[in-house]
Amino acid sequence: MVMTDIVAENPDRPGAAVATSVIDAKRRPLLLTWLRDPFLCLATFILIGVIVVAMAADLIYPGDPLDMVAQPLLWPVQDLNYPLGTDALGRDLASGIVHGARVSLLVGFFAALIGLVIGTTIGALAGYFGGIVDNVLVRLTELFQTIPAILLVIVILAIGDPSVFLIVLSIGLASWPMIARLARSQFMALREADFVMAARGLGYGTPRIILREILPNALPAIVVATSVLVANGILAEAGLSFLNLGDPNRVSWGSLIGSGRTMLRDEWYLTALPGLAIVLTVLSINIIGDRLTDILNPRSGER
Amino acid sequence: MPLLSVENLRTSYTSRGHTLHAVDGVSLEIGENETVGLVGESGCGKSTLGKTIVRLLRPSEGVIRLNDQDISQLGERSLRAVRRTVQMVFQDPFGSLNPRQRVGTILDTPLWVHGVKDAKARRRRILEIIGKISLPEAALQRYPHEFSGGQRQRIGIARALVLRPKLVVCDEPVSALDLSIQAQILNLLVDLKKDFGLAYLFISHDLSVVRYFADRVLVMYLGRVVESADHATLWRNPRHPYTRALLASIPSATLDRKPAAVLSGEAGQGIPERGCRFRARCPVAVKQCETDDPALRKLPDGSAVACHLA
Amino acid sequence: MILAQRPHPVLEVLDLRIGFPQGTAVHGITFAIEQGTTMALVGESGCGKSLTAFSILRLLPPTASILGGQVVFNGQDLATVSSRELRRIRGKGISIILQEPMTSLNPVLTIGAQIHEIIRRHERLSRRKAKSRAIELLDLVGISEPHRRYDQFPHHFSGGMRQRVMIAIAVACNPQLLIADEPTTALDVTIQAQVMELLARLRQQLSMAMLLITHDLGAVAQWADRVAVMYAGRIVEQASVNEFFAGAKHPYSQGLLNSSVGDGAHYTNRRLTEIKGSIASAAGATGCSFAPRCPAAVAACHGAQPALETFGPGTISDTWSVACSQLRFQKDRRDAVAVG
Repeated sequence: MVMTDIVAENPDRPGAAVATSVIDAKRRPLLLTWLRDPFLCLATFILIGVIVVAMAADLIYPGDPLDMVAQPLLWPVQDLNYPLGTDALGRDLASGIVHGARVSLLVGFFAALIGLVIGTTIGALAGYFGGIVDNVLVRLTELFQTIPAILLVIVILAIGDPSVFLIVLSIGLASWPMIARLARSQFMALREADFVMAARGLGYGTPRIILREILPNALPAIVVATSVLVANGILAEAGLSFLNLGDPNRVSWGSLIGSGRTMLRDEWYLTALPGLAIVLTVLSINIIGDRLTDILNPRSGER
Repeated sequence: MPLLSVENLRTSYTSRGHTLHAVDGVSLEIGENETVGLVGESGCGKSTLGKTIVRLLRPSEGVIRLNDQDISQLGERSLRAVRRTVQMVFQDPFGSLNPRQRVGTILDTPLWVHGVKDAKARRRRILEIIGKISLPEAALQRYPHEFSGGQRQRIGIARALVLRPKLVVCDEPVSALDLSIQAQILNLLVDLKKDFGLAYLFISHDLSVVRYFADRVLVMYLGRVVESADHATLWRNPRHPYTRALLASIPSATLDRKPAAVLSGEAGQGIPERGCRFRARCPVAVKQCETDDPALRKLPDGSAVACHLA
Repeated sequence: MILAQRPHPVLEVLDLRIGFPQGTAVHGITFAIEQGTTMALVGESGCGKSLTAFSILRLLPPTASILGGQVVFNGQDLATVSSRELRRIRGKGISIILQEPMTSLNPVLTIGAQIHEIIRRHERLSRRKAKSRAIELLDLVGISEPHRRYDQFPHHFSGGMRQRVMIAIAVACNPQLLIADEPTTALDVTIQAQVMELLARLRQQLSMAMLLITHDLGAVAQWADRVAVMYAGRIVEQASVNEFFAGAKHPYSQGLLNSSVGDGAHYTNRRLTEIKGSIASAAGATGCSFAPRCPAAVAACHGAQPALETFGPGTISDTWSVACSQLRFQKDRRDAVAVG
């Protein structure tokens, strides 16, 4: 920690020094932290790459990835027009992966978002108010937690028409309990902090205390946990599509793996390449989420 | 009419069927521009008393009169206006400021919440208070973790004063600070008292500090006030055995006196059903102390003591 | 490394330097503790006193390391001795008690087990003998009903009693030196007095030397024989307690003494003396680290770090030394006048 100690006279009070010595917190510039961490750099590039590709899917590969465009079962690089090969029905695998990225990322992010919003709301209310409110909400959380997530999702999809929207909703509903527990424990701890008591003592209303005082301090931990949700959402979607429970009109990484399943012995690239896409994306998200903890927390409590 | 008048206050905690009366029948008065020191060891209830007076806690019994208004059972909405009159400074400079808010926001929000909607007026008030605590204007842009403990405590004090309260409850404001910083903060509090005409309830376990800072001192033990006297009398002629023991235990930074461990045991032995709650540790307890619980008795010189032998 | 035998000081710290990857925290400090005496290491947060105390037993935080100097105990340099040898000394030759009684004891072991453990580690006693010795110790430190308390867990004890248990564990094997890191800071003042009296009594009974780390000058006056004041990783003044309280020479020492709320003062008749600003980091500044806050600083003070000047005769154990260039200046002038 470096301190600059410039001491001058306080005009209001002769004899007392103006304590202008402010500690320049050794908050290393973000760029430096990022540059020093090779895994973090790689993970960021990969994730950004995947996002860009997904967004530009229609530009890179216009048309429907489910169109049969070429000779079936071409190996990667065999025909440079189809760099990643084709499947049993002559569909371009590269196009499939690029378009599939869209679905996987959409599902991952939005399912996580639903989990975040529901979980944080329930956890915050339970943690802050305690008492009966807490009891009721905790029971609710436990209810959703004890239902096996995969069953919940399958049941919801079986009832309705499998669409990306429904998949996002069902995965979100299965994943909010984890966030709720975390939010609840954060709020319970922060509720007792001196600065929250000070806020109450200053007459701040409850909404202000929850949203402006406690929530910003609880968010770092919650956000980090949410990054895990994103990764899980992508994996869940992949699993669902693999089981043919996904949206039949859309290609996703999971559906690609599913359709390539029967040819795993010989044309293994049909499962391996989409699988690799999933692994790289999920790994990158996990690495970034892991590093987020250090990045998001200011040096509170430094003595 | 005193600024604050507390009558027979009782604040209790209940957990698993046990009720603990952290504050067990306390009465006190604080006049305008008066500093009352509240001293006692851990478990005596002084912090709880402070928080109850500021209405961070609700008393189970008793009356708190602030400017002749009974605030003891008011709801949060009605309390909001009251908050402008009485504020609190906390012990821990590292926990009492929201780490995610800039100092400017920390000082601005109370004004906004209490109706100062004009941005210029708020700015003026904030700059005034920042000047009084000897921090530069640039500090407003910074976050709490960029400041030292002493500076954070100043910011906490500024926050308490930005609404121009009449009474400030200071809960161990210098206990977590280094010795040289303690002196700075105590001097600051003295200056602010003069500038703003403040009254203080100064809570501390450190009798030396309380004795320097307070006009009148109250000594608490296990939820009750056992002695009350002005600062000089307390030093010259402490009457309650507990007060005497406290004074005897303080090591002094001179070489003339060795502190004596006059008391044995600790306070946590629980409250006896009958008799004086101090008798288990009291070096001069007599038979009467086992059966009669002494009440706080006023003495001719203005002090008060709760002891049969005083 | 075995050095020449020095019969008197129990512990000699010579030019000890401790550092972190970010920089040096303790810049070459030297002091000695005689048998049966108490040395107080005084300073505010960040001065390095706790770090110094822990480094004697090489109980440093993971990133810290001893950069140089020696810690001589019974002819051995603890800074370089083998881990095995060091473990033999910890708890037996030198013991340590810590500040936080709430967290210093293992919550899942009975306190009897914890005392028993250290006795068995260092002494060859049977289980039964070790247990009876442990009960003796509990009695020695003033725990009532030691037989019953032996089987209780730390959470059954209050803060003051836990500190007594810590002391029992520390003196179980009759150490020659007890390091006490702010032993009473977390305790109530009436309990503080009890604990310090206990320590004084034990010290006398066991002829034990003590290194007392504290920020409380009152405790120093009452319990210590010698005092060393640290600021920003350096000792700025070292003297016997009598000399120190009669007339400390370093501006920082004086500032600390004046900041204390002494007997008799009231805000209506006296304003507390402040030391302006706040503590500097240990690394960085050229010149005296205290100069930015010093009321007596001159231009020369910002130029070079002042060396420790000694006043009066004395070996390392009874010297009165002060690190202030102003005093050196005065001393030089005096010498020059005497000569000329």
